[in-house]
Amino acid sequence: MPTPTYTPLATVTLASTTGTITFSSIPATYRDLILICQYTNDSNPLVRFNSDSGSNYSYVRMLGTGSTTASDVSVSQSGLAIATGSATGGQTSIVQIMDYSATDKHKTALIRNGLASTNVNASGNRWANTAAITSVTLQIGTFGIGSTFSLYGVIS
Amino acid sequence: MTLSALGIFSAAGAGGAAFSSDYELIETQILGSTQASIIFSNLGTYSSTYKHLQVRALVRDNRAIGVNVLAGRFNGDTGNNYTGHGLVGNGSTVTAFRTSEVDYLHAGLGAGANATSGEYSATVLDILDAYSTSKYKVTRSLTGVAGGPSVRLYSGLWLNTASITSVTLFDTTASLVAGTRISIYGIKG
Repeated sequence: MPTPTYTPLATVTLASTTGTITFSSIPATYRDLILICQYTNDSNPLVRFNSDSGSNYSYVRMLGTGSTTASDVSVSQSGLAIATGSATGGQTSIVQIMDYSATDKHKTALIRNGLASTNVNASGNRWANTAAITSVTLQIGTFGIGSTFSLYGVIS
Repeated sequence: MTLSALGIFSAAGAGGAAFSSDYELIETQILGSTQASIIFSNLGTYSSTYKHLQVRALVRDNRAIGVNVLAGRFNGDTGNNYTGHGLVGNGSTVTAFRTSEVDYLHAGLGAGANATSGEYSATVLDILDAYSTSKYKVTRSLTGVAGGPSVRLYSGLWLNTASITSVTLFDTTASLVAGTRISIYGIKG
C-alpha cells in the first residue's frame, strides 16, 4: 500500500540577518532528508551534521560558469559546501541527505546549487560518521533577510 | 536560530492525523546479502495513480574499483533500446559522453569495493511520464560518490512507448552488496 511522504518538518524565512540556522531534534522516523534553500550569504556557507565541525566531510564537485567547466575534490572539509563563491545575489541549494538515520553507513548527500550570476554546480558528498543525524546546521557568513530554508522527511 | 524539526513534525500531523501528499512511497528493498539486481515488478498496478516515478538509491557493489555504473532497464527489455547523455566530474575535469542504442540505461552510480568502508553512492533518478503509452520514456538523474570520486548528471531515453510495469537496477560488472537500499516513489499528476 503506497504511503504518503515528503513530509514538511520545518521551515523558516529570515526576518533579520543571522549567521547560523539549525534544524534540531530531527526524529529518526524517515529514511532521507531534503533541505531546500533560497538565500543570500556574504561568504561560503556550510552544512554540518550533529554540530560536527571537524575535518570529516569530503566532496567531489563539478561546475559550469557559463564559459568554462571545472571539477574539484576534497577529503578534509569542515562541512558540506553548498555554494561556491560569496555573493549577494540569491542562490538556490537542494541537499539530498540519504539514509540519515542509518547507523551502519557514512552519510551521503547530493547537492545541486545555482547562482545565476556566477555558476551552477553539483556535488556528491560524504560525512565520515555512522551516527544517525539529529541536527542539521547551516553556518559561515551571514544569511540575508528573506532567505528561506525548508527541511523535509522522506520515508522508505 | 534553532528550529525544532520534531515540534513541527508533530504539528504537521504525526500525532495520529493522516498526512496527505502527492508523493508516495511504493516500495523499498534493502539487501541483506549480495544480489545481482533489484527489481520493482508491480509498477503497472499504479498506472492510473501516478504520473511520474522517482528512484532514490544508496548503492555499493563488490567490484574492486572506486565507482561503477548503476544500470537500469524497463519492463525487462534487454534490447539495444536505451540512449542517453552524461556530464561527469571526476575531481579534476568535467567531461561529457553519449550512449546510443545500448542495452541499459545509465541510472546512477554504485560505490565500488575500493571506496571507503561505509561509503555508498547516492542517486536520485526521475522517470518522467512513466505510464504514457504515446511517448518514449525519459529520465534524469543526479548521482555521486565522494570517494569515487565522481559526480554525474545523466539524461536517458528508452525507445519504447509502453507503460512502465517494472524497473530493474543492477551493476553491469558486479553484484550489489548488503546494505544497498533502493526505494521507488510515485508522484501524482
